[in-house]
Amino acid sequence: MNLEVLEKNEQKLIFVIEDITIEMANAIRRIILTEIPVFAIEEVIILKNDSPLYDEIVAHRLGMIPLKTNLENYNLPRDCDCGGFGCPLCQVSLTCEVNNDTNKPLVVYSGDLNSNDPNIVPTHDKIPILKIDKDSKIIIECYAILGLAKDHVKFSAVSNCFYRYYPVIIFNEDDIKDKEEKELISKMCPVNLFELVNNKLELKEDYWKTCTLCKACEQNSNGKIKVTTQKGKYIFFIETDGVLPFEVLIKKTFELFNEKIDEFITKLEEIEILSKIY
Amino acid sequence: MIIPIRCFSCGKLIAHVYQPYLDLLEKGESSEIAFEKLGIDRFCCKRMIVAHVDLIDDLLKFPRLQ
Ligand code: SF4
Ligand SMILES: [Zn+2]
Ligand SMILES: [Zn+2]
Repeated sequence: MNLEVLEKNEQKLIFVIEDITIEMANAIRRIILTEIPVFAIEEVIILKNDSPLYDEIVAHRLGMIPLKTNLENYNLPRDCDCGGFGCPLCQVSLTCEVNNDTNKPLVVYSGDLNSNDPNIVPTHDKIPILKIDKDSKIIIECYAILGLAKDHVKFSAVSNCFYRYYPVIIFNEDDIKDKEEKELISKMCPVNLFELVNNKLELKEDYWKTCTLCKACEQNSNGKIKVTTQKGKYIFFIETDGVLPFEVLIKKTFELFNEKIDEFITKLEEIEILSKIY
Repeated sequence: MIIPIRCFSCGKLIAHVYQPYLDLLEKGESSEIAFEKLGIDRFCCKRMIVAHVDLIDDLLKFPRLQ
């Protein structure tokens, strides 16, 4: 297996992965999308709400706020000793009390939530939750738990995760003689990968980074240009809201993958073979 | 009413860029460049911001029925 990182910053990770089967790539994608435990607000107690938003809307908005997650110190509620009832090992409480004593409307931001664990805080401080008028008040108590994105999207660790085939374009410049045809091809590519230099059709060197595999070049050259994909090579894109660092995310993915395989093997060994099917 | 926290289609966090987006437009930036600066690149997320009407300021004028 060969891995090359193309781009990595706070939000995005792009890498090329080689010598991997598509089943494996898809397993990684699906685990990242649905199986990584992540913190989100699950229970909200609204003691006072003077804003024009209904309590249900406020609770829903609070639930959607992504929280920075520390996986080491917390358990999933269903695996916790307390049986999901709620204890310091599986629950974090966040409170918010804002009193508008200015004489202008005031926006309550996610930064106004006070967490009892400084590691579990909203990823951004400037997410507007609601707005209150002058002399109004809001008192909210929230409880955040770990959860899986297959139960609710608010528990998603990434905002986008996909892979695509590695494009390979095969063409012979000499086959395309017509000048008009050359112009047409260079015009039809939606990401402008073909250039006309001195009446010669040239393909950009790093075309595989942006080629969308749309096959417009193939159709407009009557098959003289061939758009194919390389087997076992994929370009992976992961985009996060800052919930988990990429290192933790990828490590957790493979931990979960191994757990699933082990579980499958033990289940398989438990099964008694009752009858033989020929 | 008030800007939704996440994009309806893809789930990306968008609420925190609404105000910076308006500030950039105020400065005379085009929306395309504003979105680029704020790291919004899918059209599902762009429509959340472009199509949003902030009605909450109008509703603040009325007392809340308890
Ligand atoms: S497949 Fe589409 S994007 Fe790729 S080079 Fe051909 S026309 Fe351009
Ligand atoms: Zn517990
Ligand atoms: Zn979106």
